[in-house]
Parts: sequence; structure tokens; C-alpha cells
Amino acid sequence: MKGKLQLWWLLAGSIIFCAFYSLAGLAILFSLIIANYFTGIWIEQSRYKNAILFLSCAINLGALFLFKYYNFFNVEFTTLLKSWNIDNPLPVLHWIIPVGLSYFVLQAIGYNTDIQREMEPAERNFLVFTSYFLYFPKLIQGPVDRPRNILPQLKETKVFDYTRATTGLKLIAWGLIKKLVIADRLSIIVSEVYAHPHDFSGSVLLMAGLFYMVQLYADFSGYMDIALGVSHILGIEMMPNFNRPFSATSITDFWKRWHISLSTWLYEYVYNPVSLQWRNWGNWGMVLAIFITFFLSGMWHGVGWTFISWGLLNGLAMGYELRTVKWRKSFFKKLKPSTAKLLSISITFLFTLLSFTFVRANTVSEGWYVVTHLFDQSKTVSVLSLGLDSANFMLACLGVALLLFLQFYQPKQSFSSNISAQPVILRWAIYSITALILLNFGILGGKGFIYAQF
Amino acid sequence: MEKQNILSELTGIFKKVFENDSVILQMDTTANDVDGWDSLTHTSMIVEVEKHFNVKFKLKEVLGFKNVGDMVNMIHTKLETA
Repeated sequence: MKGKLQLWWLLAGSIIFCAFYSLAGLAILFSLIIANYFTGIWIEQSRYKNAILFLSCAINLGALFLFKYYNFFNVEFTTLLKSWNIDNPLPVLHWIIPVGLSYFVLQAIGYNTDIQREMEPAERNFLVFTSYFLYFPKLIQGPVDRPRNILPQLKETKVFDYTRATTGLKLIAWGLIKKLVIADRLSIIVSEVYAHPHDFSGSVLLMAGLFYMVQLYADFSGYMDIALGVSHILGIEMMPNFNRPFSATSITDFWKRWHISLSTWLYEYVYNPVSLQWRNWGNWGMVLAIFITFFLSGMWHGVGWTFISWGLLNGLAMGYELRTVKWRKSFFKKLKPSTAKLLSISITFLFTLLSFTFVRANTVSEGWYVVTHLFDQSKTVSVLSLGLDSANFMLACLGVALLLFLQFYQPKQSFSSNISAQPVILRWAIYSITALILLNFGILGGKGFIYAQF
Repeated sequence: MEKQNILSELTGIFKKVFENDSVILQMDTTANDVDGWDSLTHTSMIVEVEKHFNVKFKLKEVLGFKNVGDMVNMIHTKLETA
């Protein structure tokens, strides 16, 4: 009884959180929850599992298309028709995307597919089911956590745990520092440079590229720390989304470390079934499966050719890595292990930096301009004219250095346990300094999270 | 064929596909336990296993493998009913 009451409170909190963004969005998500609740049970009971799975995918992807992609395709369609002197009869829709719809749709498709594969049962408890889909820490930008991980935890009665609460609060504080002190500070320079990249020299473009990569990481992983921290306090463990991505030794390795919940989702529900289906086509079947996966990944991240280009670039790199496994292994074997590792990390880092340029650029041609002008030193612009004074610029550089250092430094104990092991005076000194850093150096302008737009 | 024999033949295939001579397979071995067994090499391994034992897995069967033991059991069942 106590557990059920807790669940009602949790659901009420999630509904208020969602309604805060948009009541219409909440109504749309709720309609999709009802649809998925029944399709799940229907798939489990029916002989025509594939057909009902197809129907459920059509409902979820249909909603995503209508709210997120319709206008993009409509504009492209209008351009195409115009070249033939035909007017486009389709209207432009001015609808607001329900909060977290992109993440919701992935989880719904995963849920129905698991039932179709007879790997998981359909959830009969509507309260638990709704609480999972509207669970507020993961609503805006994930993680794309699986029902098989969260549903059982929602059914357990929670008891307050002091250690869990303090660990969660430390994680939230670290997430806030990443977001407010580092990411939002870097975004000032990045926005300035990417607003008119043609005005800057190669070194500034390179610096902005590096800053954007770290900004994206600090912004997204900062949000994740806050979400995981809140969820930890509530007694629900969600899957982590990052594992020191900039220490990756290949693009394949990078995608095991960056946005892990999405990468594993794409592997489970797109790449793996497609590549297995085409397994008799040899390596080319797998290369094609990689391309399809990354094309969809690019499309999912955003509407526009910049995202599609970024997805395809990553697909190209993964395809290359797949086709050259033996060659690369024998090449790196000739080098000293430390040199081989440094070279692999540097190549991966540089590729990631260049590919993210297309995500940030306003158009593909601007992204291409940035990538091809990194060594052009014909213009001179002071870095102090990019929106930050020297103290703030130094702080931004310090933030970048700290986050990059943490990619390679791995303490035996977590930072949270390390702090807990300190005497009470030192512990509170650390908490006070953290609060002072946030209040004095945090950019409290209320900037949104980047990945929430995806 | 006995399950133990299937496991031992699978060990040879895994060593070849993952280019890793230190592979030791148990029934509860998963991809996390074998160096070189990742999302990209997984499909190649399935192809080699099918060729070697002259069996054909259904998509649903492969997706249901949680560890090496599941694969051994499936191969055993298929060879028994062949």
C-alpha cells in the first residue's frame, strides 16, 4: 500500500513537471501511453505479433514525424515543387513538440519490440506503466532507459536512505558545475564564432570546435548527472550515459562511451537485427547496416541536413573501421603500445571534433567551410572579442582542461566516496566551495539543455 | 554432438573470428568477458558458427542469446532435430 502511494506521488510529480512545459504536450504523451499500453498486451496475446508491432511503430513514429519532421520535409517538398512551378497544397503546422517526444518514442518502440521478441512480458499495471513513461528525471533528454530496468524498480517500496541522498546531491552539484560554470560559459564563445564563421581565422575556428565538443559533453553529461542524482535519491537507478568518451581509441569505441543509452538502443533495435538479417552478404551487409543505423541516428538527433551529414560521417568512419580491422591491428602492432594508444586517441578525438562541427554549424556548407579553413590564418581576431573577458576566458579554458583531464584520470574510489571519507570540517569546506563556485561563476541565465532539443 | 564438444568447437571459432588466442569459453560467458567480441564482430561470429555446424539460426533465436550457453543449447537442439 505504501509503495502504491509513493508511486502516485511520483506520477503526480511527473505530470506537474510535464504540464509545466505544455498541457497539450502532456495530453499527447498520455494518448501515446494509452496506445502503447494496449499494443503491448495485444502483441503478447496475439498470433499476429509482427503486424501489431508494425502498428505500434507506425503510431509512435507517426507522432514523431508529425511533430518533429513534417515541417522540414514540407519545406523541402515545396522547394522541389517550385522548381516545377507547382504550388505545395500542404499546410505548415505550428505545433509545439511535446517535451521528450523523441526519447519517449524510442522507449515505446523498444518496449513493444521486447514483447514481440518474447523477451519481456507486457506491463499490466497502468499506474506503473504510466509512471515509467512520464518518469520526470528522464523525460526531457533521457537516458533512453529500458522498461526491463526501470519497471521492476518502480514496483518496489522505497525507504529513505541518508547515504543515497547525499551521494545523489553530490552528483547533482557536479552536474550543475558542468552545466552552469563550464558549458554555458563555453557556449558564449561558440555561439559568437558559429554565428559568422567566415570572419575568423583557423585557430579560432579550431578553438571553437574544441569548445563546442566540450560544451556539448558538459551540457549533456551535466544534465545526466543531475537526472541520475535525482533518481538516485528517489531510489531508482537509471543507466549511465557516458564513460569518459574522449579517451576512446576508435569511433566504434567512442559510441560505446557517448550517449550509451542511445547507442545500445540503436544496436539492439536497428543495427543488430538488420546486420543479422543481411549476414550472408559478408562485410558489406554490416557496412550497410552501420550506414542505416547512423543515418537514423542523425535524423533522430535533429531536423536538417547538418544532422544527417554528421550521422553519415560517423557511419562512414565505422564502416571504414569495420573494413580495416586487420590492417589497423597490424599497423598499430608495429608501434610502441603507448604511441599506438596516443595516436588512436588523437585520431578519434580529431575526427569527433570535426564531425561535431556539422552538428553546430547552421548549414552543411558552413560546417564544410569550418573544416576546410582550420589552417587559414589570413584573419586576426582577438579571443577576448568573443564575448568573454580575460578572467572568464581563463575560467572557460580551465573548465575544458579539467574535463579533458578527467577523461584519463580514473581514481580508485569515486569522488563521492572520497569526499565522504574526509573529516566533517573538510567535507563541509568542499560543499561550501562548491556552492560558492556555482553562485559566483555559474551563468544563471536559464539556458536550455542542448540535447533536450533533439 | 555433446554440449561440451560444441563448446570446445565454439572456442576455436571464437579464437579465429576475434583474433584472440586467449579465449576460454564457459556456458555463462558473455560478450563482456571476451576481448574482441563487440557489436561489429558479433555478426561475423554468428556467420562462422552457422557455417561450421551447418545450422541456420532464426533472427529471434540469435537476438535471444544471453550468453554462450544459450548458443550451445540452440546448436545442440538443431543438431538433434536435423
